[in-house]
Amino acid sequence: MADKPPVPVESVTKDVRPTPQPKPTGNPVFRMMGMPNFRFKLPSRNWLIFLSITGSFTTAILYDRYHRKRAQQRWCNLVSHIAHESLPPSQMPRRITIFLSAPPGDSIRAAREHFHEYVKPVLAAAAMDWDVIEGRREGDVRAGLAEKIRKRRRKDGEEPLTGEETKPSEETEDLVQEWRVKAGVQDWEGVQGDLVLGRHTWKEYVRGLHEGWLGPLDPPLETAEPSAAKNEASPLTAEQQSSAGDDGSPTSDTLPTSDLLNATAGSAKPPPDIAETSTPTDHASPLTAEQQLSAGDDGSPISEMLQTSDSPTATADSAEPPIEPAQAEAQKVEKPKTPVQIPPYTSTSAYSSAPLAPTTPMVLPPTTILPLPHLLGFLNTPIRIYRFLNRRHLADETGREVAALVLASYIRPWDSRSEGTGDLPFPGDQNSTGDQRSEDGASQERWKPEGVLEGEERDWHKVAWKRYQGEPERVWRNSIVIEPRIRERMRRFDLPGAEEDQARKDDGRDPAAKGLWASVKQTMGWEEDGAVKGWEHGSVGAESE
Amino acid sequence: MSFLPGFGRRQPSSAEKIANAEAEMDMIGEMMARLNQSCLKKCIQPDYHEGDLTKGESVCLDRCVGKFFEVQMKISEKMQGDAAMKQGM
Amino acid sequence: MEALNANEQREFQNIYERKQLKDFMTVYSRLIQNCFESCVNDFTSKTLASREQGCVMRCVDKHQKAAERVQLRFTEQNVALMQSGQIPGQ
Repeated sequence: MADKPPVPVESVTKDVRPTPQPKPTGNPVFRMMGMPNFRFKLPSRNWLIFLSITGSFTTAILYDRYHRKRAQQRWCNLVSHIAHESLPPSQMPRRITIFLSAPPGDSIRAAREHFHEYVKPVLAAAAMDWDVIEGRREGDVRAGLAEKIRKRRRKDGEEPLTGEETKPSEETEDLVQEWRVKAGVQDWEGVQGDLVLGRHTWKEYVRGLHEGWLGPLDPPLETAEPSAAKNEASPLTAEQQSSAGDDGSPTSDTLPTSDLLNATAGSAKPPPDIAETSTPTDHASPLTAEQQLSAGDDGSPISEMLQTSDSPTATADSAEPPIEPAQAEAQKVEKPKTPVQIPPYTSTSAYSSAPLAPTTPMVLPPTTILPLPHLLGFLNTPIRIYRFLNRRHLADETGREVAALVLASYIRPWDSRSEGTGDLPFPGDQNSTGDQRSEDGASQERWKPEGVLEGEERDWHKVAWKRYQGEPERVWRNSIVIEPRIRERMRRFDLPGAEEDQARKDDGRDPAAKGLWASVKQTMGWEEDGAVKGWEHGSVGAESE
Repeated sequence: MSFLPGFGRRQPSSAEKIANAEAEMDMIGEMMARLNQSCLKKCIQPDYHEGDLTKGESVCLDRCVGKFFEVQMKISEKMQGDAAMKQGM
Repeated sequence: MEALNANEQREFQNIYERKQLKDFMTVYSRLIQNCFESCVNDFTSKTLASREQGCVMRCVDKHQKAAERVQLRFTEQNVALMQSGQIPGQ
């Protein structure tokens, strides 16, 4: 540094600018502390792009996960008081039936995982027991439910019209039930309920419900031949019945197999309202003609009607029957593995003329229908990503419906909106029913059983809509038909407003879960011993206490 | 119940029959005790707030017994399979 | 299990009763130990506090009810197994 020339005192007023010294680099604070000089600078443009994309995606996922967990926990907390109620040892807990069906175009794993993730936590928090009717193919749930209803009808004392003796059932579940009755173990009294996942399952459920209560007790036409329409179907011996999935039906051994029951390998008779083209009926009718030859008339009015409707087409193909048995035999030998689905005992057009079963209860078990969003396809990937990042809303909605089922505090008929009150009206719900009246027609449809979850049909894979020759009745493709006599007996669960508010006010923390610090303390062994060491504390536990 | 020389096995004597029955009863009793102990330990919280079983505990016990039996079945099947394989080797 | 005739049955009944008694003693002592360990933790007094008494009573109740429930389920499972033709161990 150059020496500055001495400035004489008298020239202090002169404007002398000293030579500017180069400023020391860096923050003087860092310099004084002896720390290296940090320069905060942004990363490069490319890094910024990368980090912003990944960061935003990660944040979206974590945000959604956090709120999904809290939403689920809210509903679990709402129902958890039920798990603390007492139960006598000789009484069974409340048991609901869950209907799970593979979405069109996918396997049942998708439905099961949805169930495990969204439905099971709330059910487990309320200590509910359940058994599952699973459906791997279209129509399995319908067949399973119809068979279950028929079994119940038989147990309640209805006699099948054929007059054949009902042999005592050999199934494990029935034997255990008989033993329970003998031992004095009571079943749960009170409403039980059904839970249906997805619109496709709901359609099958409604169809099975009608078939069970409006249909005959015995199959329309008895036959031992496999269906020619199904290439891989063949009669199944009792040993080959495969047990369905291990999906959370904890105390039920064999009920999941109820949809793959005994091999009454009936034909695939398309009901008259579906047979628009003659080709499906042509394939099925040779078999019906053959059945008419082989089986006697069982006297049921339904089956008579079906026979008469099929007979015009049957007579045209009478040359074909002799070929069918040989073909059927060959198929029987080839593939005895696929279980046969029990075909419908009645058709939708026969509903209005069918007699209602005498043992039908005044109120059928109430149901809750949960959305099962399922979308496939490469071009649908953006929509699927959007849904993946918004699972919290689905969790909230599902949790609400399951809580409604579990609490069972408001059970209302389906068309109760117009009257304003249901079976057990709850004051908090009056306002909501009043609002619904003013909505437009589209949303009003959603309150009818036909219109539940209608939007899901747009997501279905094209497999649900495709027609192929010789197909059996397509439950998914057809619209829902509900008979008024069954409709007035159907009920649904609903959640009263007060309880919903209570749930929403909850902060969604799990009371049993320890926080991070508490779990660290436990791991490291730092926590104080909670048990009182009596000899150390002198003041606890007086003798006269 | 007659003794067939050369066919089948000898009719067990009464002492043997009783011993068999006793062994079977022992086995069932022991299984019952183990089942009881395991399931009570897993399912019942030692708080003892009330003397009745709660619904959660009841459901837990039901499922515990079912799973216990399933485990037992699977293990005995596996062991039988292993033994058969060893004999076949 | 082969059928036992009358003599054998009587003998078996005796053995059965002895075993029942032994089992009961085992269960009893285990119950006492469990309930003591979970309920009684305070040794500043020589008699049980009312809290501890209540706890022990509830413990015994709960264990009995749980054992009863387990017994029912056990029998059901046995019924199911016998129906399907497999008895454990045979």
